[in-house]
Amino acid sequence: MGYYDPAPWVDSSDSLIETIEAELKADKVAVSKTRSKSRAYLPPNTLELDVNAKEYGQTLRLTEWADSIGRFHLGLENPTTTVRRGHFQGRDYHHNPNGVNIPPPHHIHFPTMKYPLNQRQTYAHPVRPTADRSGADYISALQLFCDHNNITLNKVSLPLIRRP
Amino acid sequence: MDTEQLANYVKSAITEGISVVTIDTGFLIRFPFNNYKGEPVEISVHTNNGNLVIDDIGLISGLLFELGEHGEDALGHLITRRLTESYRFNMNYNDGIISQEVSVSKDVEKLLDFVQVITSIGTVLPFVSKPRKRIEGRKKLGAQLAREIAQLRLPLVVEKSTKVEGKHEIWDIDYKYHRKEDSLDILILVADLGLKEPKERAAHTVTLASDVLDTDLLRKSRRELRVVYSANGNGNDATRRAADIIEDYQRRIGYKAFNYANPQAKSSFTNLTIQDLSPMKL
Repeated sequence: MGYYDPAPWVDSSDSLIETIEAELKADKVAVSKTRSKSRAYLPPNTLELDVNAKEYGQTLRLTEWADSIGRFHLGLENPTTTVRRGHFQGRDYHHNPNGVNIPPPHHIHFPTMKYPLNQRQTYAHPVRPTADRSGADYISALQLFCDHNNITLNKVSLPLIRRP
Repeated sequence: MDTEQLANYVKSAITEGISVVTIDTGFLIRFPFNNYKGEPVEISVHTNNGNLVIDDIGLISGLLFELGEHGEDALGHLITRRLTESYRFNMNYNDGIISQEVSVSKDVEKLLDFVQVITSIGTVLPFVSKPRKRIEGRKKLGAQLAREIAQLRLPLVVEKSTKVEGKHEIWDIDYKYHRKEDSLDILILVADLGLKEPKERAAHTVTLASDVLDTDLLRKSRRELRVVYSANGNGNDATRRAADIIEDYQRRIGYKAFNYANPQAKSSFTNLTIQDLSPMKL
């Protein structure tokens, strides 16, 4: 897919943050990240990848974890802010600030000028499963999230990622 | 709104903000308190040998992970551990779950304590989290430019890290080459604003530009100064102001500024350099 433009979901009185969207449009490559093995307190299934946005000379951080009731939480942050947040296998509707409701199970939050990603209300756009990516498991949720944000995953050893 | 109306309003905001959802293992209680991401605090309740078990469904360990506070010595991890130990909750490191067993008949306070602790941890975590190390930096932008110029395979034509004489001072310039076509010296300055002191970097850039592009000097030898900087717009205010300084002064002083974080500006700079460095022009 490359990049999903969420602009149609935003009310006319608000707008996307251009610099963030430009970074998301740019080609990005995810690479595996090694983690120290100290006695960390973590959910049982976690994934952390570096996402290289060469054009920007920046490395973004992509995280995924699953809670104990089977929902997948994904986040993409650049060095200063969170640029996308994905919720897969949710049970509830997400209510956008302009009154539009996004049905379960998958949606991705995006920041706008009025509603950055640290407020009670934020915008989200739906993520529809594809023929080969349901979003219902750890890997396909990651793949769908990356598909929508122009992130190439072919440098990551997906079979090595721990599954729930 | 009188006191009674206000009391009713607050009461309804709290009570209506609580919802209970049935899940496979029991039920989920959702509270009208949000974590730093704007998501509601939720706890799961299920039964075990006649007792109720409440747990945080892994939301706290997930928040710690997202914030990079999950490590053994991280402050977020320590706060979580101290609080759960103080309240004698179970902190399961294998499952990443905080839980508490409560008696159905007499332990409602424990349930309330649990909600209080989980909400408190979720509230405080973003404020103890250390900001991620900035990866933008002079080395990154400088290295990126160096790689791209190296790809043109024109060694000896482009001088790297060289000195250039201004009217009053001798300055360090990142790249310099001579374009024979119009006998022009092209100077390239990398001004990365991802550094600690973007204002000082911008001030240095403007001063350097004024000095090396002084009109008396330009009468003797023709020069063009290109300033490559990096500010992606979601940096802090100081970075943005520094970028504005570099942009604003380019017309007055006569240099050309290119924001490398902007794909169009980057492409325009690259194309200009490639054209200059084509064998026909050197």
